[in-house]
Order: sequence, then structure tokens, then C-alpha cells
Amino acid sequence: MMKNYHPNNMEELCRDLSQLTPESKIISGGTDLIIRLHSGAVKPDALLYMGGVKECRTVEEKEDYIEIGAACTMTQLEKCPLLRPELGAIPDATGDVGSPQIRNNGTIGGNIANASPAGDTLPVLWMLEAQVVIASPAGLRAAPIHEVVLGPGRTSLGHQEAIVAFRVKKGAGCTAFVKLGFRGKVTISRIGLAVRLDQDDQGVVRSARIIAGAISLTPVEVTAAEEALVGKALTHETVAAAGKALSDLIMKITPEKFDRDYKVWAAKGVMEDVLAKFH
Amino acid sequence: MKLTFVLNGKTTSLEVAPDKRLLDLLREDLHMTGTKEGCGEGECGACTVIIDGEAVHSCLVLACQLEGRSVLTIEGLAENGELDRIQRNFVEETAVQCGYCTTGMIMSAKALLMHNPHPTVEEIRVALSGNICRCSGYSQIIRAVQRTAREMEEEQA
Repeated sequence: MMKNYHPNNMEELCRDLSQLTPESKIISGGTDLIIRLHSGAVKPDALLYMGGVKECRTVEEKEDYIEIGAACTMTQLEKCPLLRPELGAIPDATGDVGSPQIRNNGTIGGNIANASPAGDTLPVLWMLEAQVVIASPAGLRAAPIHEVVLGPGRTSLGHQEAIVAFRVKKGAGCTAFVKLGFRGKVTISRIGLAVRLDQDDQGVVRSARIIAGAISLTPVEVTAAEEALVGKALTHETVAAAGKALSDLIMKITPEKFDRDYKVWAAKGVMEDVLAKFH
Repeated sequence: MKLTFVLNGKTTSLEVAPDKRLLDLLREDLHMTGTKEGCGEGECGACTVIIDGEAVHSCLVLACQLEGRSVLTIEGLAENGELDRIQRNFVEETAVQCGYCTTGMIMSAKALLMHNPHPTVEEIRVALSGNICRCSGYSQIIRAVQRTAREMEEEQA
């Protein structure tokens, strides 16, 4: 008989984690896991449900950072007033994951732990250089996002570890995210572009951080696009140069079978769309 | 596991495997077949129910996630044998053809009107974006939702 655990707080969570085996699964919204469970692709000996851990369901402002509970649903984050305008990339991304029904159930922690190359929140947390707070029977530890998500479906989490929160530094400047899919809604991300710009009063870009998701196994920094913008205002020319830098990167690193040629062409439009959200 | 939750306003307890999908729990254990399975993957919305006031795919919720929560299904809409206004308007506006998407469409519309009683057409489209219909072309469905919102507004006035 499958075991199940239903911790109500962090203390109970750390206690229950000590019971998990390498065959156990942690479930939050379950919008990815349940499909695999139902098809028989995974056969866990136990399920640990994160949704009752109250500390994981809130967004809190601390002195230097915002802490986002891993079991916050996509809808919760889409509507969270603490996240706009500085961390606007987060509601931009979570507001378009799947369908409304998926957004009401799926969580940011699940999106990251599932580690799909097309995961909508991955490039956003990469761009924000998020710290991942991880619980285990030994307590809490924090690690940078790029050390937690290692590749498609692969994380560095041990079988008795659970993501409980993400910490994102305040003072990010202005951030935004745009996703390109094959259709308008309920669509897998084919390019996910997460951008942070720090601009002066004239709109001249002092610093830029541009991360692209869904074009490689994990999110990648589009350094050439950043360089095309720094020291300049956002004009037709500079935006086009940034778009071309993204196209060139896709041509170089995206395998042809992952819709490379479509993405090379579409990249310019995605860059225009995301930069249109800034001055 | 022993599961206790609120179903259509009534506290309900049953013995169930922790990994049983809510969709199967409703249809098989409780013989409530109003909720349909279209895809089993969260793409079609035919299985939509409302949990704690939010529309969700019941094919993507397990028993172990339900303890203490409140579930509303299509069977819970009619009161004292009278159809909910949304159900009546789906019939009146010819928004039901084969009927397979109808449960899910109504539950998504119900969830929308619970949060937003005066939705724009665009807001209706977004709220129903997780529900697919192969028969109707959607326009009658959207009209049914608009009519329901209008009637609710007129009743308030």
C-alpha cells in the first residue's frame, strides 16, 4: 500500500522527509507528476504532499529579499501585489503557464523541481539569480538556482530533500518575461525570454541581464544581446541588434530538431515583445 | 488512506488509495459521472471541478491532496431540483451539442463568475481557455456565459 505524508508545517515536513526512499515522490500541485503516475512511468512507494505546509504557501517581504513559498500556485503569484513592478517577470511567467485550471493547482516549486527545459519559471529565476531554499531532515540549506536544476528532469536534490522557498533579491530594477508558443494559450514555451534592465531617466541602459529558456537544456544567458543594449537607449536599431544576437545564439546552440529554424526566425519578435515592456 | 473532505457542501469520508485521481474517485467510488475524462492530461478541461473556489482539472488532483478541502462538482450546482442559472443558459443558448465538454465549460464559467461577476468577452475567453469544444465553435458558449452575467447583474439591480 502506498504511503502518504501530509505535513502541516516545516517541522513536520523535515520529520516526514526522513521517511522517504529513493522511490518516493514529493507532490505539490501534481500537474506534471500525476500524468507520469497515471501512465505508470513512475511507481512511487510514497507520496509527500507539500500543499499543507503553511510556510510554503506565502510570499513574504524581508529586508533585502522577497521569499516565495515553493507551494505557491501560479495563480497566487500572478496576482501577488508584492511582485510588481520590480519582480514583474514572475507574474508575467506564472500568469501564462498552461490553462487557468493548471495555474490554480500547479506551483512554482513543482515547475522548478520538474526541471523541464521548457519550464516557464526557469529562465525567470535564472535571470533573478534566485536562491533555492531546500529542506531535509538535517534542516534548511540554500543553493543558487543553477546548482539545483542541472538538466532536463534532473536536479541536485537528494531523495529526502524538498524545495521550500525561493529567495529573490530586492532592487532588481525592472524585469519582464515573454513566452512564445505555437498557439496563444495553453502552450508549451518554445522561447522564454526573461529580462532585467536597469535604465536611467533617459532610458539609457546601465545594465542588462537577458536569459533565454527553452532553447537549450537549461536556461542560457544571451550575453551578446546584453552587450547590444548597454550604454544605449531602446531604439528600433538596438532592439533589432539584441534580437539578432538571440537568433545567432539559437542557430549556434539549439539542435535542429528542437524547432531551431523556426526559433531563429521568431527570436527577433520575442525580443521586440519583451523589450516593449521597458522604456 | 482515510480521506475526509467537503463535497458539494457535505462532509464526506471514504477509504481510498492516496494516488487515486479525484476524477476517478468521483466517477467510480462515488458514482458521480457528471465529470468527464477527455484527455487525462490537463489539456481538454472536460474534467474541470472547483476546489476551494478555484477551477482545477480533476484528472490532475489526487486523493492525498484533498484532505479538508472543499470540492464543487456539476452535481452540486442544481439546487432543489432547479438548474443553476449557468446550466439553464447553456441550454437556452444552444451551447450544448454533444455535451461532452459541457460539464467542464460550466464549471470554468461558474468559477469565473464567482470571482468576477462582470467579465468582458476577453476575460470569458481566458477563463475558458482551458476547456476545448469540438462541436460548437464556442460562440454559443460565450453567449451563455455573457447572458448569465447579465441576468445576475439585473437581479442585483
